Amino acid sequence: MSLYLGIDVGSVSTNLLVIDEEHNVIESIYLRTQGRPLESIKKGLMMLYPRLPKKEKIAGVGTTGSGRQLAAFLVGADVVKNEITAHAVAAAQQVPDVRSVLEIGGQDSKIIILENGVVTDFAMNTVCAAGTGSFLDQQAARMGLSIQEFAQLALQAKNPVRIAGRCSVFAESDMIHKQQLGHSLPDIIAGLCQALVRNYLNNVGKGKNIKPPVLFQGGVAANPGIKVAFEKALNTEVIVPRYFNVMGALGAAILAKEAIVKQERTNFKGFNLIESQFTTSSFDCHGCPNICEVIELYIDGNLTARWGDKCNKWTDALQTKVAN
Amino acid sequence: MIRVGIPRSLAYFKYFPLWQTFFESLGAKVVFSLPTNPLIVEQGIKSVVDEACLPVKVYFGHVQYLKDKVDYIFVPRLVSVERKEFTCPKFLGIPDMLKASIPDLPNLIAPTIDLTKQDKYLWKKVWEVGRLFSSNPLKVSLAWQKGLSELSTYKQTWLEEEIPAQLNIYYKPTYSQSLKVVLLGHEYIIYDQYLSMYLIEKMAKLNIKVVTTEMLSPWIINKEAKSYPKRIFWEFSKNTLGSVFYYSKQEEIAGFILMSSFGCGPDSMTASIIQHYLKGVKDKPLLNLTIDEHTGEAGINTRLEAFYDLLMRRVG
Repeated sequence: MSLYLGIDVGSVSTNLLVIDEEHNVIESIYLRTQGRPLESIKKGLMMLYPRLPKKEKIAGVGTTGSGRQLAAFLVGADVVKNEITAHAVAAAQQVPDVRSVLEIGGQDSKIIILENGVVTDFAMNTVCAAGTGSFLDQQAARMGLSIQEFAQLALQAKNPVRIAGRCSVFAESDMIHKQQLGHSLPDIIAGLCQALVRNYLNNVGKGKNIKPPVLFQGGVAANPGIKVAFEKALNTEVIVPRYFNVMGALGAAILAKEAIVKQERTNFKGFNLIESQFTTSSFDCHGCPNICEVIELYIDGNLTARWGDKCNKWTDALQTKVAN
Repeated sequence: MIRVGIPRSLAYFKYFPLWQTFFESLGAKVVFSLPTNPLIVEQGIKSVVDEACLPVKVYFGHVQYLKDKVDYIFVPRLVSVERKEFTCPKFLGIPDMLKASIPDLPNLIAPTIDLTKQDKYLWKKVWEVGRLFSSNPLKVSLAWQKGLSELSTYKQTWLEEEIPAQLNIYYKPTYSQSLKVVLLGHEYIIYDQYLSMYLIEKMAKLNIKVVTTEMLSPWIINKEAKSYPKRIFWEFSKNTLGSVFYYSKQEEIAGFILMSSFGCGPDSMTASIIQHYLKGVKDKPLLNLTIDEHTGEAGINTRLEAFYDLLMRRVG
């Protein structure tokens, strides 16, 4: 039997997931990226390897997330797909009649509208990351709570306070103000959850036809306070799928399986990678006024990939070198 | 020879053939600033009030670039370029903002162009600028006519669904079988490669044929814009809405992309109207892209690729 690996390198988490031919999830790993995507990919592979059945081989690899190019260079991917498509593919596989997907990740939030399993509309938050996972993380840290405690507290609220959700800087000052007035912590946290949902629906969800079944996924879906706030605001049941926090990786794995049908063999470099040393360095190219930041990837001291130059001068130079 | 600097920013994209020909016909040497690059952006951000939108900040960077290289900088105050229609308020204040923010500027040529007034008024303005270079009204008039004729050639290229070569944008899709997508946005954003993060080239690489507002004749735009219940007095908004109304009726159009700058006043209205309108049109999805000072292209790439996937799955 063949296995397919999906890797989702997001701003906050790096997820790896392996499926079999029938799309059954064999193994999944959720790791914090902690600003070090290369290390977290390597760590993920290291954790994954012993857990996989020994006889099976990885037949295809897909990468997604904001670090998808980096991951693709590193492991040798068969398909590199944006996270919107990956999330939609995974959602449609988990709940085939899904019509709306609400996704809130570390720095992105998106909404995907589907009809018969096909994306018909989507939106993503604009330049501002207010109301995403990173903000909840920060607020939990400020109160000295783990994000799990934070989420549970929201459910104990009796009378959620009103918090400005338009901007996380304003929201924070609002929360501090409310806390100094003597409101209870659960009420403030629940208020924050509502503000986040309000902001999401007014911003990302503006003008979108949100119809059930509604799926809520991404790391923030672990937070029952937000789920309840969504249900209240949308007046409908909100489903958090079983693999809510690794949906991008699931989608990438499914897409890898689709891609491998078209191509003969996988580009996957194999699990030997975990014994290699990865390093990156970067430099500013002063060849023209664009001053591109060129990034170089070294595997065991050998320059393996370059990217970031707009004119491809450096990328092509390396490829020629490798070809010779 | 007198050197006249023209910032390669804002109204440049609409009028540069006119300006360049006019000044050159009067014997001046025209110096354009370089296409926007990180240094220009940085210079601009340093020298302007922080409430300004990114394109205005970038304009200041272009002026900074030209500052020590020329005798004059041409920074027209565009109030109105069509009757009863106005440009953005920030355009109106640009010469004053420049004088207040950048020390040791060379002389500014800053005629106020307000075509809400009568036609004769324009000649007065042309003369006001022209006489800096020639005392002969006939020579100035001829230079102006020559400039207008260059401008009309430039506009003609657009009407043939081509992006003029002077803008140096690679926009032709690789294969003839391509998706046709309308790209909406201020000229000074979508045709500024650096600001738009090479959006048009990225679209071409995905085999998307780009069409824009500039590729429609003013006649079509004005006719379409009239179908809006209220007269639209922002010049840019009118052009954009007119083209949205027109293109949304064309079957071969697969979708729309709107790129705007964070904090753009007129766009906040225009974008909402477009969103609202296209919601009622079947099979014409819209992608909203917002740019600001950040240089990470991941966000734009993700959205563009996902939009492309969406269009492809629709086409089937």
